[in-house]
Amino acid sequence: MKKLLQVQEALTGGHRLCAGCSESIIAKQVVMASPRPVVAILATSCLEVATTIYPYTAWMIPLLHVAFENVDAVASGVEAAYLALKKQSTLPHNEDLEILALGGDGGTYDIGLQSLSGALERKARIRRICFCNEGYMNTGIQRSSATPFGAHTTTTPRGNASFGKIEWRKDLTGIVAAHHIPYIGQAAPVTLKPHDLRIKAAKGFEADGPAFLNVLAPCSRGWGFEPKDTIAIANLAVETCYWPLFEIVEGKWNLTYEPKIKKPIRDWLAAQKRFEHLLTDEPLIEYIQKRIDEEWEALLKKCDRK
Amino acid sequence: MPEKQTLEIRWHGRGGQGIVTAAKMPAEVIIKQNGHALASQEYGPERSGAPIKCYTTISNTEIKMYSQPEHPDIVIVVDSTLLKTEPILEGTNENAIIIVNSSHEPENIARAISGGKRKVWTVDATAIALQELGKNFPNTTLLGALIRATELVSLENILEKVAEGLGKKNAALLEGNLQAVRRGYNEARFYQGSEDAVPSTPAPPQKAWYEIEEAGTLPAGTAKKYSTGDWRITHPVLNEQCVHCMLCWLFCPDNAIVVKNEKVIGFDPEHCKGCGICAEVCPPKIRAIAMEEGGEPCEK
Ligand code: SF4
Ligand code: SF4
Repeated sequence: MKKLLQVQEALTGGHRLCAGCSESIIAKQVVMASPRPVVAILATSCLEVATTIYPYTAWMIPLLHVAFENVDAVASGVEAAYLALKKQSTLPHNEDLEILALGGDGGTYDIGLQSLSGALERKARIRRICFCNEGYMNTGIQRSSATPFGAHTTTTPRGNASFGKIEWRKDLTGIVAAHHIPYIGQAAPVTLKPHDLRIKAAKGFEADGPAFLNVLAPCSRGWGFEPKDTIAIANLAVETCYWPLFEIVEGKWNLTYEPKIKKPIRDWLAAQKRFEHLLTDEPLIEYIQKRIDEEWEALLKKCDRK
Repeated sequence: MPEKQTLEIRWHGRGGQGIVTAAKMPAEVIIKQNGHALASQEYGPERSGAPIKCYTTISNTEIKMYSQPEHPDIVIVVDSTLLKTEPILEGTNENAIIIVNSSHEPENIARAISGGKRKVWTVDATAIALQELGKNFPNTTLLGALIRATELVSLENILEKVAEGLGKKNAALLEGNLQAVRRGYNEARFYQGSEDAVPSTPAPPQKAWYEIEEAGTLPAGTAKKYSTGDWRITHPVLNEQCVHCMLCWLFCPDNAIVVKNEKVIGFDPEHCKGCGICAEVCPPKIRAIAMEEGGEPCEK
C-alpha cells in the first residue's frame, strides 16, 4: 500500500461527481495499477461530464473525450496510430503506453456495444473498463439493459400497473467472454477484498491483447442509498452473489472471492430505495433469489468449483 | 383582455435539497385557481450537493415562453453558502426581491450581496425545519416566506396544497410541514434596501459559448482550483486511533485525504464533500474517523 502512495493519482479533487460517487474511486484504483503511462479515452458518461467541466479538468493523464457509441473504435484507432508512429520512430519518447477506454453501462451495454465487439474481435490492445451503475444516471436515471429486474427508474416507474423494470439484466461479461480475449474481470470497489479491483486492473494491463473489466459502480442518487454507504452497497452486492467477483484468464474461469455465508438477496434489495416496493412482494423476491442462485451455480460450475 | 402580468422566480439550491418540488408547489396552486404557471429546471445532471437552479413562472395570461427566465422578479436562495459562489443577482434589477435561508438579519445579507442596495427577506428556514421536521429540509419554510413577501396566493391555499402533496405519502411529516410553512410566513424579516447605499462592483461577465475555444486542450488537473468544499454538510474528524493503513485514502472519491510521510494527517477542506466514505471504510476495530455535523473546514 505504501508503494502506491508514490503513484501519481489519475484524478484530482474538485471534480463534480456526486458526494460519495464510486466512479472516481474506480478510475483512480484502475489507473494506479498500470505499470506504464496511461492515455484514457472516455465516452460521454457521468464520469466524463462531471470531471471535465470547462475550463476545468480533473484528469492528470492525457484524456480524449468521445461520444457514447464509439469509445472502443477511437481507442483502437489511437492504438493503431501510436504503433504506426512508433514504427516510424517519429515520437519524442519511444516508450510503451497503455490505452484505457472508459464508458458507462450506456456506452458499453447499450449504444456502445457494436464498437466494443468490433474492437475486441480485432484484438486491439486496449484496456476497457465499464462503469456499471445500472442505468442512465447522467441524464436523470432512465433504465439501461444493465438495470436489474424490479428496479424503479424514471422510465420503468413502480406503480399500480408495474413493479419497475420487467426484464432481467443483460449478461455483458458473458457476451465479452464469447469474444475469447486474453483477460476479462468482473469487479467492484469493495473493502471485503480491497485490492481485488486493482489487482484485476494490473492483470489487464499485462494482457497480450484486449482486456475488459466490468465494474459495479454504486450510485447513491439512482439507487437510493446514503453516499457514505457506497462501499457497503458494493460489499453487499458481492456477499449476496448479485455481483460475483471473478476473472477469465485466457479462457479459464476463476472465482476471486467466495462469500463464506451467502446473504439472502432480500438484504441487497432492502438497502436501496429503487427496490423498496418489492419488499412486500414475497413471490417476486423468491423469483429473484431463484435466478440469482441459478446464475451463481452456473458460475461455480464454470469455475470448476462443483 | 386583462393587462398581462407575469412573475418570475428563480430558485438556487443544491441537488438533493428538493428544490424541484418546491418550485412546483406555487405553480400547482396557481393552476388550480385557473391561473397560468410553469415550473422548470435547468437541464443538467443532478449531482447531489452541486449548485442547481429551478424556475417558477406565474402569469394571468397564457404563458408562451418556455425558455428559462433571464430577469427574475424574485430570487430564492435555499442554501446560503451559495451566496458566495453563485451569481445570485444575475439578470435582476433593483426591484427584485431576494429571499434567503439565513439566520442573519436581512440588512446584513443585503450588505454582503449588494452593499445594502437590494430588497432582501431572510428566514432561518434550516433552524425551523430542524425543529419542526427533525431534518434539514428548508423548502416548506421558504414557501411560507415567499407567500409573505409576495401575497401571491393566500396562506390557506398553500397550506392546502402542501397537505394534499404530502397527505398520501407522508402523513407523519404533514403537521411539521404545515407548521414550517406558517412559521416561514410569520418569521420572515424584511429589509427595504437603501437608495444611497454604495453599489457593489458587478461580477465580471462569463465567457459566452461562442467565445470558447473550439476543440482545444486543457492543462492537466485544473479542477484542483475548483472548490467543492462547500458541498459538505458533515465533515470528517480524525482521532489518534489511526494506524495509517491508507484504506480511507484508497477509497476517498475526492482525493481529500491528506497524507504526509506515509501518514494520514487530515482532510483537504477545499475538496472534501463530506460523503462519509472514509469513516465507513476505516476498519471497524479502529474507527479513526468520525463524521460531525456541519460543513466547517475539516482540519488539515
Ligand atoms: S482507514 Fe482509518 S486507520 Fe486506516 S489510514 Fe484511514 S483513518 Fe487511519
Ligand atoms: S468525507 Fe472522507 S471520503 Fe468523503 S470526500 Fe471527505 S475525506 Fe473523502
